[in-house]
Amino acid sequence: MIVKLKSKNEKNIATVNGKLLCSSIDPLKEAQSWVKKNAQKINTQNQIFVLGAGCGYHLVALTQNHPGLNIIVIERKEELIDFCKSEHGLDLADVQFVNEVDLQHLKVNSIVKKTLKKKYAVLTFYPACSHNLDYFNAAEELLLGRVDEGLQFILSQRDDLKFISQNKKIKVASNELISIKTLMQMANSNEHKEEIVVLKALRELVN
Amino acid sequence: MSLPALRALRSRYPKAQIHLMVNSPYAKMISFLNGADQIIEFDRKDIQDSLLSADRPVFESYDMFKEFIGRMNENKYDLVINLTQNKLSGYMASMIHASDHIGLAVNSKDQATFGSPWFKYLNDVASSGADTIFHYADIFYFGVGGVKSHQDWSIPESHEGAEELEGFYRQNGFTSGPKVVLQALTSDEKKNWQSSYWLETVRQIKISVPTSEFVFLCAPSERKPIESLASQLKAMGLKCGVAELSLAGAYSLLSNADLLITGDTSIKHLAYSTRIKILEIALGSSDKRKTGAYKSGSVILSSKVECHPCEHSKPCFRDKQYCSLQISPELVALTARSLLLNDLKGLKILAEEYEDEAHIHIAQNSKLGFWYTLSMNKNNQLSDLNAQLEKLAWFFLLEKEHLKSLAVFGSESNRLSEELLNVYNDDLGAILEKMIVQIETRTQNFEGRIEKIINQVDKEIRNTNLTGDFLNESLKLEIINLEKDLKLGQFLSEKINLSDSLGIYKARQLHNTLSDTFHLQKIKLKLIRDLKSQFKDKL
Repeated sequence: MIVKLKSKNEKNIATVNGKLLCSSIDPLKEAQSWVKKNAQKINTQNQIFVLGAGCGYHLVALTQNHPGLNIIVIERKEELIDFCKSEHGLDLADVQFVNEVDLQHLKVNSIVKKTLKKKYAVLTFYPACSHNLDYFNAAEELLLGRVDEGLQFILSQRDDLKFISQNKKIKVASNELISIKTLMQMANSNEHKEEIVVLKALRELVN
Repeated sequence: MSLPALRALRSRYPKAQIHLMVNSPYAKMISFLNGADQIIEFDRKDIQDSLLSADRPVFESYDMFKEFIGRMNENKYDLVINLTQNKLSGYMASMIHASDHIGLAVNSKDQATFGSPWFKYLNDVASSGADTIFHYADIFYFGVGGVKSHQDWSIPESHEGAEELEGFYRQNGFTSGPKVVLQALTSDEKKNWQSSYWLETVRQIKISVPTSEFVFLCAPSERKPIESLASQLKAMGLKCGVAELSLAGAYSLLSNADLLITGDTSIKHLAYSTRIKILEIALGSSDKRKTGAYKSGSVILSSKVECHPCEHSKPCFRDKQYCSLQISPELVALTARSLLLNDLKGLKILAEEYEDEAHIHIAQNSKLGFWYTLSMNKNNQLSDLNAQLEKLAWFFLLEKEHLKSLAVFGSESNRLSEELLNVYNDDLGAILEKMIVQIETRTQNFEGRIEKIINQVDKEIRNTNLTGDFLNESLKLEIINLEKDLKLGQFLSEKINLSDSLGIYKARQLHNTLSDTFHLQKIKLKLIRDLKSQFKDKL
């Protein structure tokens, strides 16, 4: 259940199970600072996933600083989505909210599947995730594709990357993240020559 | 260093749109040089960050890279030229569609093509550790089809730059004394000279040239350490300005100052078409043969420690940076003085007195069309002359000049003899009698050895039918010894070390490399003999 409060600078904020979902002092400043900190991740993108709807100020800051950016918010609690919409109204009119209870439902969500077909970034607003860290951590892993389940999910949405999934499945150790080296091992190098060259070029950047 | 190549392209294709792709941090500098119609920035760092960050999607870098290449291919290029000799650029070059490619292009099977004998030379010879190699600027220039003439690096001084400089001089109270510009920091820690040595050098120059005035040139990121140096000088009673200028302002400074003392930096290349004299301190991985100050008359001091030049992009592996420690402030200050006072004889004396400490070379842009250096130490005249002949022979080979029915041996030997007269004039008798004959004898010997090896290799290829290793151990050793005597780095042994499973490919590679080496000696001999007859006429 969410509890509504006022921040020190009189902004409407919320908690879930006693956990603050944004700054209790100045949520606007916190939001701007978060957007600035993530500038490198956002700058070259047309679409981004944001984990956690929270109090919505970080979402408003995103729309203000990056007009035209396609923002998809992953949030488990429907009440928080309603809170954000009622607090920020038109400012969040173009933001898409994805309200799914678990990973299995996220995987079949049409907005998520569509977004994965092209380049995107994944941003986490940690205060907004504090009420359900396990869910948001799992969602982040899924969308980043740096663990096996996430990688397989992304590959299932990308026809242009079939050359990677065609080869035998490489077992990645549980504490090891998927990298360009893993992808190269998995790729079928007999066909898709241009795609293989891209992977090889990327490999040079980490050597 | 790419500017002469760009100018050569402009000259060859006056109506073409020339786009230059560069790593983002260098875009401003390249833009200033005004060699291309469009600068395309490649944000290598962002793609690298995406690859290495666990919190960025696994395919983000792949998509970014593909998008970039896709944008490049929208331009529908007729010609792609790769002036960067590494695998990344090779892969990128092969992905950008065009009717022609010059420079390294690497396909999905890691097969490389070069599109020009000059770029093949860059890969096979210049990168294999050979002693005598062309400057990169020359390789790029001739590789894109530049013709033999003075390389054009000229950039006009701008009004804005001149105004900025004037303002800087006024603010810092500079007068009309000789100005010495100090570029103390480079992009690589290994190439930096000791900070304390810079201070001592300024002190000593001031003593020997009391009217000299000093300016540290720096980028915004270098301001703090450079201001610290300037403060230390101030505490010693020595005035020194700190110039954080725009590129235009920096160019104006170089255009109006008297001497630049620098490490291996882009500023030294920028200084090429200004009147400033250049003293380069070549340390760490900076290799004067490949990237030395191109301007004729530049003096290059390089360390004599065995590990110099070291490998690029790797930290110094020794407990101290000996190459930097070995070059004393005294030597640099005295060399600076000689340059400021146009004292060439003084340089020669320094070269002999400080023989144990450093090599002292003067850069020359020769009538022959390429750059070379001359040692100021008389003891190195033989190797210098040999290097010039070797380069000229390579030039003939790469341009296939020797295959032409009216090959220009005569006119090139004439140019070479004029060049030598210019350089060695008072030693001409010694050159003719000792050095040329020595080189001729050695070259004849090499020619014979190579011919014998080629015959043996061909025989082995026929006998073994290319099953397994077709070279016996003693033949391999002969080739390696020849390579060592010719100072060709690993030009030949790289071919020996190719996998035997490559069969006919390996055999062809080895045969062609030996054949090139043989032709090189033949061309060199022809040049030497023409040179001898030129000198006979002149003496």
